[in-house]
Amino acid sequence: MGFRYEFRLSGSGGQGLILAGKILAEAAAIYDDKNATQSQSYGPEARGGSSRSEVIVSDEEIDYPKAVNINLLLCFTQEACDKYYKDIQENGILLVDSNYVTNVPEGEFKVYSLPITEIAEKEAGKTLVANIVALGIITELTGIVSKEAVESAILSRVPKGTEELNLKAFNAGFDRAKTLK
Amino acid sequence: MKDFLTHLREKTAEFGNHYNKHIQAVSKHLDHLIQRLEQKKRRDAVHILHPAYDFESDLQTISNVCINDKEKLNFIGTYFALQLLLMNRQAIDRLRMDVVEADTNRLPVYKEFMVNAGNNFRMLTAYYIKELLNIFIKKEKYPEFVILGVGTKSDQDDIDVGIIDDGKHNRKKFNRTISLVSQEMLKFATSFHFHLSEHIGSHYYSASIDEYELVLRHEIRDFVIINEMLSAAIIIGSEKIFQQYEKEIIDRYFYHPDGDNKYHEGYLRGILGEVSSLLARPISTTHINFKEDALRVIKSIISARKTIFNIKKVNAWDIIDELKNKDTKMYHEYNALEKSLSFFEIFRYVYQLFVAQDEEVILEDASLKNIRRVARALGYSDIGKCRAEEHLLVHYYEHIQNIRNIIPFLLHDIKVHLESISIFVPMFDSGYKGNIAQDFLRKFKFFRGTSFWDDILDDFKDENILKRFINDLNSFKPDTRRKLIKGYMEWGKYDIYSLIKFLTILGKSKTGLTIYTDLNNRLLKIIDVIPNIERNIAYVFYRYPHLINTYLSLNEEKNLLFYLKIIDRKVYEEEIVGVISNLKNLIGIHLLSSRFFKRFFLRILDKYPGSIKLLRDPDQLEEFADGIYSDIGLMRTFKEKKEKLGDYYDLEMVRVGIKTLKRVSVEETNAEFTEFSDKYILTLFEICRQEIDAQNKKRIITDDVLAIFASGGHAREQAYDDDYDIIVLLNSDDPKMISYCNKIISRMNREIIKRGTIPHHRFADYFGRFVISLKEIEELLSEKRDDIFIEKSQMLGARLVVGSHRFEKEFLGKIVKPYIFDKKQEYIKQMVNEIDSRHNTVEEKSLVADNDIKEGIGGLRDVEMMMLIIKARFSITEPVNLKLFKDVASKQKDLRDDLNKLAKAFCFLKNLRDVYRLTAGATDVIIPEALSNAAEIMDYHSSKKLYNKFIKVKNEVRIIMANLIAKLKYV
Repeated sequence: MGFRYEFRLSGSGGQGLILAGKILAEAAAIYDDKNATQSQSYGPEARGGSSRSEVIVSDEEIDYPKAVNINLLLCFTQEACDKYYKDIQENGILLVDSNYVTNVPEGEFKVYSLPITEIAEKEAGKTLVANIVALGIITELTGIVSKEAVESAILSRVPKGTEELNLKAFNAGFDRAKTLK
Repeated sequence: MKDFLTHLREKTAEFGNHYNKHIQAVSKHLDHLIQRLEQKKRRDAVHILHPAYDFESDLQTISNVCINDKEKLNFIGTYFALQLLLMNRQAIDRLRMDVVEADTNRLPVYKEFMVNAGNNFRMLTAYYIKELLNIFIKKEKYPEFVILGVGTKSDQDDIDVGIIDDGKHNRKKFNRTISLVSQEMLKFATSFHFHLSEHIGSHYYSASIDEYELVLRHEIRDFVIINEMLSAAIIIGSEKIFQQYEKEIIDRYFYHPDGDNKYHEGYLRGILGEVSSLLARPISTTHINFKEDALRVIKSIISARKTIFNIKKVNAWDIIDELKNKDTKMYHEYNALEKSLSFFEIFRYVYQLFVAQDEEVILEDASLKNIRRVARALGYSDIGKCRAEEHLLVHYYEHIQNIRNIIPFLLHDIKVHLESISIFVPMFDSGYKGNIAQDFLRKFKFFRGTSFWDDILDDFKDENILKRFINDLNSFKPDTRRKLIKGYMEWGKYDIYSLIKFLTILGKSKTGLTIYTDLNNRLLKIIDVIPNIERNIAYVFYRYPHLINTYLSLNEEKNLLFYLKIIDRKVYEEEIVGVISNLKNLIGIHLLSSRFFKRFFLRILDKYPGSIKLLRDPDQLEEFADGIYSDIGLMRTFKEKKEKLGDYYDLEMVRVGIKTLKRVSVEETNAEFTEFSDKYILTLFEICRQEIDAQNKKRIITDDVLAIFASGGHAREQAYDDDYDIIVLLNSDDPKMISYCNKIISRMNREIIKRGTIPHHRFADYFGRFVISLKEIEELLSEKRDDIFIEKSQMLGARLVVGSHRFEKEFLGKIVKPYIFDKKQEYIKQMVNEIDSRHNTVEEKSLVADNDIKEGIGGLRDVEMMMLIIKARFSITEPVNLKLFKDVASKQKDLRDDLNKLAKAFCFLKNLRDVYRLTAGATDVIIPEALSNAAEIMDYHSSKKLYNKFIKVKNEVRIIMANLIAKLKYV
């Protein structure tokens, strides 16, 4: 029996969650040779400033690309957390940026509350790479996509001149997640 | 010679990192692909190392030579990747050449480039998808289908598609096939997005026409779906299905002059809501966003208009071309829109090609380097100190301004169109039989999710319609009425702009006040849980500051405090942080302000809503006021000049008031108040004089003949008085001159009253006119009356505002010196008696409240009388202000201590009076309960503490006064 792993990355527009979703999907599909799909918030829901990106990774055919039973939910805002935490499956993971999510819900899932934006600021010098820090944490916490694949996908997505900064952010997240295990 | 791959890498090195995916595919599979083609002797049949022109044939040839499906997928994916790279390379080379040729007229080049790039990309993608489907579908029976491109039709980070099937045969399997196609697209090409099918029907990837019908028949739902449908163009598949889809589903959203326009109206309400909210979005200073800043709003407005003019084209430039022909009155607007569209599209396209497939670009050093590369490719070069990228960014902001200037016209035109077709229109007819309040909500159900209601809300501005609505709503029993109020909240809670507009219409109307209160209370109950409420309020405030200001003025203190809490949430965008900060400042002013002060700032913000942004910065407000003052000269009529001057006064009043609330010193407040107030009177005199001259058709010189003196508070350079004591003196007995000057003053009075300040002409009662001659004053002061010291005090305290210094000298010589300074003993005695008698009256008869800051014992009147005594005693002609205290104290040793103490007390009393006027009310009676804002501003932090201090100072003043009088009584 194959596996199907569902990620939902959520927060506010401008926090780079769509890009993080694309990187994760490409890392799985192109660099790890797995099946992957990525979809994102669209339509009126995306017009109010909220942002959501979903990635499904599987070693089998993906015939339904919407996340319905979330394995990992990343939340960059309290609103997103309140809205989506109920979709996390039993034993799933809730990862929140403690800089923005202060009221963390309880449930049959593991909670990791980390100051992701602060890590980005401290370790990479820029808060705008908080999404990449989060990717580092997710990569290490889940082990669904290899570190090398995500690094390659990052390098294939970020603007020229920012590669080093993004890798630094990714590794900062990855290393921080190691301490949690 | 370099090998092909090295050459390809070099040629595409300037492309963004996201092209690594394509390079990697080519590196991995190209050699094998060529080997296979050579092996099958088909190498020459495929254009593989150069841009191809027959993608379909090439892809088929490649498929045919492969030994299995896996190889097919890899090889056609490689072909796609390679052709995409070569195509983009070629396009950029051509662009560079064309912009040099075009010199500064580059926008037509951009348009042509984008049209060609779109066509080529669509063709390549279509044939690639076709080949993928050939591989996956094989010979199985699948439903008839069509794949439609429903988004931007050039290379981007995703391709928005809608897949329509006929609802028959193996749909589940067909959807799995699309899933496989989608996964291949992610690996080798560009990933798909399936918004349409995600929201319609039971399958994720495709939906049937019947499923569309089922979802869209009863309500508008999601206008983004409609937008996508209206831009649908076949990528591949059944033309028959598409035609049926167009006829049965899409066509309903177009305008039908003689048919049902409910769907068309719904689409317009959705899309115009989107346009309005995008226009309300503040432009960031830290990043640019092609889609949000410009492209989405341009395309939305074009799409809205295409449905009105029944244009079936889907490419934005084609639509604009046709609109120019069909809607000639807006030709220039379309032309300008087209230029901006070309600019934003190519900027985004080349940025995404060179840098990253993002819509948002943070403006920092690294990205500026990248923008520089884009700018160079677009034909920009360094000019003097201005670098190419700066030049490009300046154009970016100019184009945003361009579309923000144009779109409101187009929007208004659509609003007019809506007014003629709306299903709501019959409700506003006077003969309407139904219940407006209930029927509006019933009809609204179909439009749920849309947010443009300006046309309807403007109808409610008609008092008769509003009355009818209110009566209809109130005709229900409380329970039903409550349900309807709830319904209106459902209508408005996701469209804060419309809701607030509705609330202000109700709140400003006397008949609507109860419903306003009910609805507003309901809003306040649920506002906390409305997603992104702080951002939505900030947007409305940014676009419609005047509306928010009016709404705030309708809310009581506890609501304002609640709003302060609501908007005090963490937001990420700097530009919104700035807007929220401005809004907090405005709420703060509403909270602190008395009605007296509100009158000024509401008036000014009503007229100049843009000035709301400046409330935080009095210096900027001063520049703005100076601008208004400069405008006076440009006004054509005297009426306009006077209105402009009034605006200047109001604005300056607001500015100085804000400074007071921000705790600047009394001296500064009074000095600035006096400066603008004198400037106002002087200019008003000039305008009124010119007006009379224009009517009389002759100019009369008044320079040394007429003078306007301020007396009372204005003479003492005291801020925020609600009356203006004026003495108008004439150094002539000529009746014509008296009549002429009287006319001027009469006009001035009319204007001064409009400012909420009542002009008091001190001697008008005696002489029956505003203007009095010096001779008349001399006669008056010669009268042997006990109370003549009152008139003398007016003269002694007067300060010249309009007139020559020669006149002032004459006034001092003829009036002040002989009647006051030369008779100081008598004057001082009368003043001392008056002080005693006032105190006795206050104490014995309790005619004056003890907490009257002006007339109470130890109040401002006492201090002012004391200073007049001092002026007379030492023959001082300067006005009564803090400087006078200091000057006398420095010269009169025996008075120094008392005067310094009195100055300090005077300062406190004046400050308290100023702040109290701005925060509590324009009254002199200090009510302890109304002191809370003043206590905060004056750093006492407790009303009680401040009140106690006030009482203490008054007592101190009484003691100081007694000391000073004892020393000055006998001259």
